[in-house]
Amino acid sequence: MRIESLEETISVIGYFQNGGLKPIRFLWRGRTVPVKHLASHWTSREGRDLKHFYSVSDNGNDYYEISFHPRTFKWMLNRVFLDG
Amino acid sequence: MDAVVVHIDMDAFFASVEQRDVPSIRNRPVIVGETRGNRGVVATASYEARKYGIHAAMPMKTAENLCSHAVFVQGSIDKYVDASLSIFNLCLEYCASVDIVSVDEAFLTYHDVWDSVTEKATCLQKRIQGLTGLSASVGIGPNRMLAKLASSLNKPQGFTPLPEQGLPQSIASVPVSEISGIGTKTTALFSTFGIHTIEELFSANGTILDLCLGHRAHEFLRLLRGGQDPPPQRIKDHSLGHEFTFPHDVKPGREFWVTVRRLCDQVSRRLRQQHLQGTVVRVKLRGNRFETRSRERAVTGDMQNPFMLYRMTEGLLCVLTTNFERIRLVGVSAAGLYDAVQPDFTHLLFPGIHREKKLISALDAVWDRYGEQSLIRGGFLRGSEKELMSDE
Repeated sequence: MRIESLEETISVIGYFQNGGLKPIRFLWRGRTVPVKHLASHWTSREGRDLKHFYSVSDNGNDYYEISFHPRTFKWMLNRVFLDG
Repeated sequence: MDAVVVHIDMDAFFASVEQRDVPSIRNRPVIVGETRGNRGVVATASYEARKYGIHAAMPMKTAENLCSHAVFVQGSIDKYVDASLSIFNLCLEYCASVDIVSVDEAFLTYHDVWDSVTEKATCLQKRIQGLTGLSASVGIGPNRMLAKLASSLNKPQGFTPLPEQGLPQSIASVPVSEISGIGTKTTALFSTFGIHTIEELFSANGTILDLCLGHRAHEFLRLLRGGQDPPPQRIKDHSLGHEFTFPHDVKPGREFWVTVRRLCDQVSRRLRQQHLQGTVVRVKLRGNRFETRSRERAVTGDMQNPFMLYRMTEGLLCVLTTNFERIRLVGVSAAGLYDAVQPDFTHLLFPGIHREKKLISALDAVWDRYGEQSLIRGGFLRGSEKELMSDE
């Protein structure tokens, strides 16, 4: 298991429902990563900004930590847990 | 009725959260801590990593040497606090007296029969697992020390009741180092006198115990025999409360509950003003036929927080209101008062509760300056009053 800390902007397709936001898939370095499983969601405050973090996995054994920043409306890929 | 204390202790909490989120690291040694730089220490190690001798507060470099194939994860405190909040909110569903002592452990105090508490604790343990995907060890005892000791005996996912009957024989073989409050130095001191287990502790003579434990010796033995926790120091035997008589008799609907909230606000404000904390919450109802009933319950939560006080009263009133067709008067009071100078870790750990505290402080500042009618919650207003306010 390799864990890499990144701070890369990503494009995300998600949907808002019942006051929540759920990522469906995201584009990272030209590759589309489908979100097959949402493991957890939590929030983190930096000053006035409340960021939403999601721990997600794709089809395989790779896991990603992505975050949504409501003030800038940007999504970031923060960490990847790569199998092998 | 004597107290029964339940200790909820999450198993390898930070590592378990990471293992939950990344299934491919389950059943593997996981070490959570500061991975950046050379001076980080281990915050938590999974049980698989503990087999290699890795424990909390160990330098990361040492952990790497002991178990180089472990998965090292940079900790994310917000993620753990989020999981923690879900767990403690669940605890509040099962007990009004939840005392959160750290991000991954809490004491629940019941004044109920043993079997009923055991049943609730079993159910709570299952629901924590179901809701968060995380396992907790549960210990039950007649006091905090024994409840904490019990939860540590069969980790992980342990469920250990230590009823008063059978004590201290039931813990005779437990090492003294397992007792909360006995650290490495005291353990070493006991060891020099040949005391390694609780049984040996009880058979030791008074002089040795005084030497090792000082003035705490008598209290330690009393608690290990199943004695009750000493009550918080009460400064007065009186209570402090507010009552409200409705202009017309009401059913327990919105108007009733808004009034209860308002009373909780008033009571908690007076407690804050007088720097008091309560150990008993009391409610009173008078019906349209002037029949009066009251109920009270021992609690350990923060009564200076009106949100928490409301949660304490809600359960009592839900039961009591079933006896009334219509209600004429409602009262809320705090009793068993003591000086509130103890540190409260809850607010440091949980931003949500911390925000509640800040809100309460801001409200106090406005009320102190402009009077208690100067600012009221929007939720207290009736529909027509809200329209009037928006027009203004």
